[in-house]
Amino acid sequence: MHSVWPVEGGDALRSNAVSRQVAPPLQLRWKFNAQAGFGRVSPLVLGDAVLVANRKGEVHAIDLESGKRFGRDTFGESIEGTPVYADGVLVVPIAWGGRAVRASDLLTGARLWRTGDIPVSSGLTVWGDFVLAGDVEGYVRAWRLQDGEEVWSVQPDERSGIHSTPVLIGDILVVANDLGKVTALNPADGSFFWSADAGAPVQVSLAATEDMVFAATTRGSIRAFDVRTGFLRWAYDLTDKEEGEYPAERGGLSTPGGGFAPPQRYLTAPAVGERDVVFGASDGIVRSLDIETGSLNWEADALDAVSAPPVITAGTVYAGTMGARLIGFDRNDGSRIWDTELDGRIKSAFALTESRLIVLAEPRHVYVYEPDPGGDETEDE
Amino acid sequence: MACLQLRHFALAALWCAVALPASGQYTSHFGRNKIQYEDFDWHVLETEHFDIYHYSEMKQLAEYGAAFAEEAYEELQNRFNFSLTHRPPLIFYSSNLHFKQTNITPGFIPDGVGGFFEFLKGRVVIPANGNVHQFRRVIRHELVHVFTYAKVLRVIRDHRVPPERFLPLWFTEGLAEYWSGAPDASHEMIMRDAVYSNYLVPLSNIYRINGTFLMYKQGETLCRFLAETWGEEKLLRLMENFWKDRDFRRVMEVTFLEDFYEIDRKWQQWLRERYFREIDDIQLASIEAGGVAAEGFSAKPTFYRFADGSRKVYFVGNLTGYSNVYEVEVDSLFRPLGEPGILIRGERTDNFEALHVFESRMGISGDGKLAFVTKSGETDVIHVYDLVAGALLATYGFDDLVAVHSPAWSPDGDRLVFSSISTSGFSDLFVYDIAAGQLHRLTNDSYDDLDPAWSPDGRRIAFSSDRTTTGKHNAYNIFAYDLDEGTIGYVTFGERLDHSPRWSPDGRQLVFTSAVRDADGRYSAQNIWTAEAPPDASPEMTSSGPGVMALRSNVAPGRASAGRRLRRLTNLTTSAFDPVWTGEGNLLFTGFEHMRFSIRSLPAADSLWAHPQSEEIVDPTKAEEPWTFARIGVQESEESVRYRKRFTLDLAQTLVSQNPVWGTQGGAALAFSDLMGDDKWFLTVYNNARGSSDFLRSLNVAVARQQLHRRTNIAYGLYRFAGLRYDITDPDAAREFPTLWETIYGGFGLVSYPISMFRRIEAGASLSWDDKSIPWAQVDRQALLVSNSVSLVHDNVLWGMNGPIEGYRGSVMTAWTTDVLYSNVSYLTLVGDIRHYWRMHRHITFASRGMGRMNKGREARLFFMGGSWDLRGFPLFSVRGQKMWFTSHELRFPILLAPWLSLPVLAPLGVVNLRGAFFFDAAHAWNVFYYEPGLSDRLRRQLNIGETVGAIGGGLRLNLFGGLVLRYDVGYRYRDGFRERERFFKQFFFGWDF
Repeated sequence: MHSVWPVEGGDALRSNAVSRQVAPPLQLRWKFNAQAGFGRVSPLVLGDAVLVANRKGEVHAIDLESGKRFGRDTFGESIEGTPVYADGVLVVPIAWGGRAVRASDLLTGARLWRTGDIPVSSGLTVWGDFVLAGDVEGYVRAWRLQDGEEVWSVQPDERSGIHSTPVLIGDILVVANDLGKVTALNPADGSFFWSADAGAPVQVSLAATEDMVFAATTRGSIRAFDVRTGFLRWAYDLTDKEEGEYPAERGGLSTPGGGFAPPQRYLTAPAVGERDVVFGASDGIVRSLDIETGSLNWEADALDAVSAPPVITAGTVYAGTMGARLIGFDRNDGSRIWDTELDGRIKSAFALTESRLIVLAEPRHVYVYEPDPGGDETEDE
Repeated sequence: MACLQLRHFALAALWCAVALPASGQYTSHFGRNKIQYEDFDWHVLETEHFDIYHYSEMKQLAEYGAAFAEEAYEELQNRFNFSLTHRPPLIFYSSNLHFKQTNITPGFIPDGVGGFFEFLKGRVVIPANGNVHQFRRVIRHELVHVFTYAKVLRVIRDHRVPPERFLPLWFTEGLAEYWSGAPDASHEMIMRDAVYSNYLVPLSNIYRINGTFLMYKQGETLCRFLAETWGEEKLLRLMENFWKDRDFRRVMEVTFLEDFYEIDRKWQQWLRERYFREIDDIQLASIEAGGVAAEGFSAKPTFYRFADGSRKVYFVGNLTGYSNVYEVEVDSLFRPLGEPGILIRGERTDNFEALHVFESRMGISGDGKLAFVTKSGETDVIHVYDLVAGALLATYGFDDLVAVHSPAWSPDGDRLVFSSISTSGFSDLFVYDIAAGQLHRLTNDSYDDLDPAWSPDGRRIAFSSDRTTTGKHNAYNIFAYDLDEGTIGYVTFGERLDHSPRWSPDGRQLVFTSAVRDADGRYSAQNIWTAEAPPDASPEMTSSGPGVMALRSNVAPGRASAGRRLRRLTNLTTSAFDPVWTGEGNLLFTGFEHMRFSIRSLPAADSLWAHPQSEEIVDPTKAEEPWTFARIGVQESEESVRYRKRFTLDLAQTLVSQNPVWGTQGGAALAFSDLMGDDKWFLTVYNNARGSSDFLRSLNVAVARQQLHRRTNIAYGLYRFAGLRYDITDPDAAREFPTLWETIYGGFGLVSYPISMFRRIEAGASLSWDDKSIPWAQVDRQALLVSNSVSLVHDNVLWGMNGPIEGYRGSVMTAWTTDVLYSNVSYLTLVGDIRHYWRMHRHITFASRGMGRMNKGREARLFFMGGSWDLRGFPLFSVRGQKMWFTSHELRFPILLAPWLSLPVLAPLGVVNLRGAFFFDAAHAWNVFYYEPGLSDRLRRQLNIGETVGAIGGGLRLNLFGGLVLRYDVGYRYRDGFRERERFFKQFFFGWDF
């Protein structure tokens, strides 16, 4: 099966970027009712099939061309993280209850194995014969793909959950937890390479290049660490601009000492291009940084909170908002070149095929957009 | 209980839509009146995310509110990582008295309610109270609710779990408080008291205090503790995990990865560590200061020494449920010489409709005239009561001044100074010259000016205000208004909460209360302080027009200043309020301790002043220009337009039933209303056809409209009712199974005019065509019925947990029903019902009820009685007659006031109290023909007519969840004028005591 968007973020580095252009304006090709809402999951595109996991515990297989469902599998409880597919096996993380990782044969639907006692809210990663994941109690675990047997597990921090999907850079697995600790592990045995501090909780997926890993936090900072050493390459902090005190009335977060820390800014997982890092934030701004220095290229107002990671195409950055808008920004200067309104908020990751953008939105719909050769650049549906 | 006193008119209109034309079983509905004194001219200010509803008089305040809402939105969007996809309507009122008139909720709104968010239409309703900071905070609080509700609803829908669950109240309210801003002084006061007095309710038992003020404050500390311990993000995670389990304790465990009871333990430890470290030097008010009035809730003390040397302390209090003005005689050491007695009875009469216990001080002139404030109708008024003569002298109300607070006399007793919230929603100072009848405005801006006090030399008026430079951070300082110069000068200065100034008898000191922030940013206890009253307070401000104040400093900025000395006289555990420096060296004040407000006397004020707990030098010359907030003006928004009604669905309900007697019946009810809840439509459709050919013949339709936005409420509607009816009130129907076929169609109109909060006149009329058929009884009659009724209703009762406990309610009603076409029907109705509740003790009430009903004339309908609501021991509706009297007397007493304290297992079952009652009921019903020889004894027995029947017994009342009262009565029922004890009965029912 030819994989088009086989993992969350499109590739092992979770770059959320493609080198080709998906040019706006886009037009709706089809819309599918998935029967329940979505977590932060990304759709997977395997050949002509779009796989979408929902919060009712179902995985729908939809024909990319027609938008018709041709398969559905039910896993019982909510699926918050993105499943993985390897060697004909679909492995799904379950966010509640026991047997938190479940595998089935994608073609036959046959149940292969179930394992894990601790729920998994983040996405899965495949390394060779291993399926890797972080669970809500903070353990990183490896299971054998073929039979689900646990190979190793480590806990980088005591009782700090993992809600961030790990990223794999070659033979280095990097995970981040709710305390903001970023840890590089050997996927073969779980041994530690290095650890670093992101400064605040990391709850979104990590992204990487061959030599940098990017962690976006809940407090408005994004940090780039050296993949090999964990050294901080650069940091970009939204709250640097706000000087002086942070009174509670202005969103300052109370601290044990009675003071107030900078206000909250939830950042999305970053999209990483060859020259830029683009991310959205709960303040409704989409920002592009220089990948080498972390300096700001541009910022653009999306009007509503952005919690879904943007995707980068050759000339356009697409972002979805919690105000139900899908927006295309010029990748070079951030100018808004196209937008459209959906039925509900966009809080899940996108997927891209050759020329199509797959969007998950509230209340429970899968949208597929494709370039509209005759359309205006700005539309309101 | 206010919420249970539902709008009588709504119920009456609904009832009449169905019942009035058909039955003539007239009755009146009790309940106080929620009166729409104002016909608000609503406008809508559209901002980026909100529709702001306001009326033109409060435009400036609405513009502040619009800016606050947008500011809060920006922050909450970040806190929740979530955006709203709808435009929440924010409805502002400029004062609490206007807010009380809202139709958005049918219940009565007490003082102190800061606003509410309702789920039905997602409306946020917020009154201003003169304090712009508080307005801002309440907006933020309610918007946290809006975001929380939207977020959680989304979580539930995403996961497709049943929406029968919601977050616990302690969490939603605690989060709203926590994310509204830093803990305020009242928060610290409550939590200090809870920890020191050891009434902190563990998290595991917090449901016991659900909905209380304490729950709000504990909820706030819980959220703060959770955020500081596990991270702010975990609060959001709690919402996102909400779908995982119905038991929120389990949700907490999986979110914080801790055992629930361990979380609880850690929270209590965290709290104790915060407060116990301060405990070394603090003083308990109950030990340091003698109690003048220590029962119930007592506040706002003042004092008068009579010519004969006797002394009395006056205060506003709520010792039994009603708020009153109390007096208590004290000796020279200010020790009470008896129990407090009621001087002015509040909440029972139109003149003294409500006393604002915690908002308005009282003033006494040198010649013994007590000035105090009550709500009376649409506004507050000032009453002047002669303490020497014991008579009410005068009552003063002012156009455009809605809320009035804290009147204080000039030394010559000719003028009163007070603060007032006008229709604009801002609090300013006013002087009323009694002799001239003239009102003078002293301040006119958006600052909150409170608690004025006239200096003994008559030249200045001290007051508390947030007009200070530090007011931007919600600080209040003491100011002095120079009446000669018309200028305002600082007395105190700094980031403090200085309130309630009063002059010392010699005019050289001002005593006031203040809370200051500690090093960790939390407010200290609110203590009693003094400030030297400077001969010329400076720097000064001048008013240069409405809403504009400028600093008129005669001290160059940066000039060295010796500052002004403030002395802290107390070091209390929690808070002192409203100190008064008596002429005999005592300080009277309200102390808060163990969740109770009491009046206390602190001796030797001079000594305390000479040896203060601490001193602080403040330098008002550092004052800068007064602060202001941003506004979103009408010109900046897209548009501000006049409100136009748009009806949206409130209720849609369908019902299909299958009954072996009546067959299959189905119907639907729809209710619509406008955003303000002023205008409502009701549509009811149902069909009781027993076959398809009967369908149209058996169609029942009723449509009714209520309009509530004016003082006079009206309702009208059209109806068609048809089908086989079971009508126990129809004199022609068979007695054992009184069925008949009847078709009625027509219209009705109702008018209700509230004379005051306690009394109203109601009038109704209907015109209907009535076709009745009882084939086997050979009854077939048509009539064009006209019905008219008029009634007078009075109700001032005080409600307890199980029903009324004090006061009285009564109604008289007369009606005439006649067939204007054939004269087949023509009867007169007279009804009288009076109920009196005598409070024998705080928890014991003796309730008496007397009622008489009469329908007299052709086809006069039967009244009915029986069952737990009235005549106990007799089955429901079993006593029927065209005339009847009824009396009932009941002694209600407590058995277990709070059973869950001794048996905690009862708490989850919702057991609130267990009470008992002894009762005596008697009734007599008769018809014009009951004495006729042809009427068999069997029929007399069947209708229970022609004899006095009754019941004597006792019962238990169990209140569940504060709203459901289960009643179990046992006793003997009697006949023949109580000469025949017929049988023992047991009766179970639920509902309020009468």
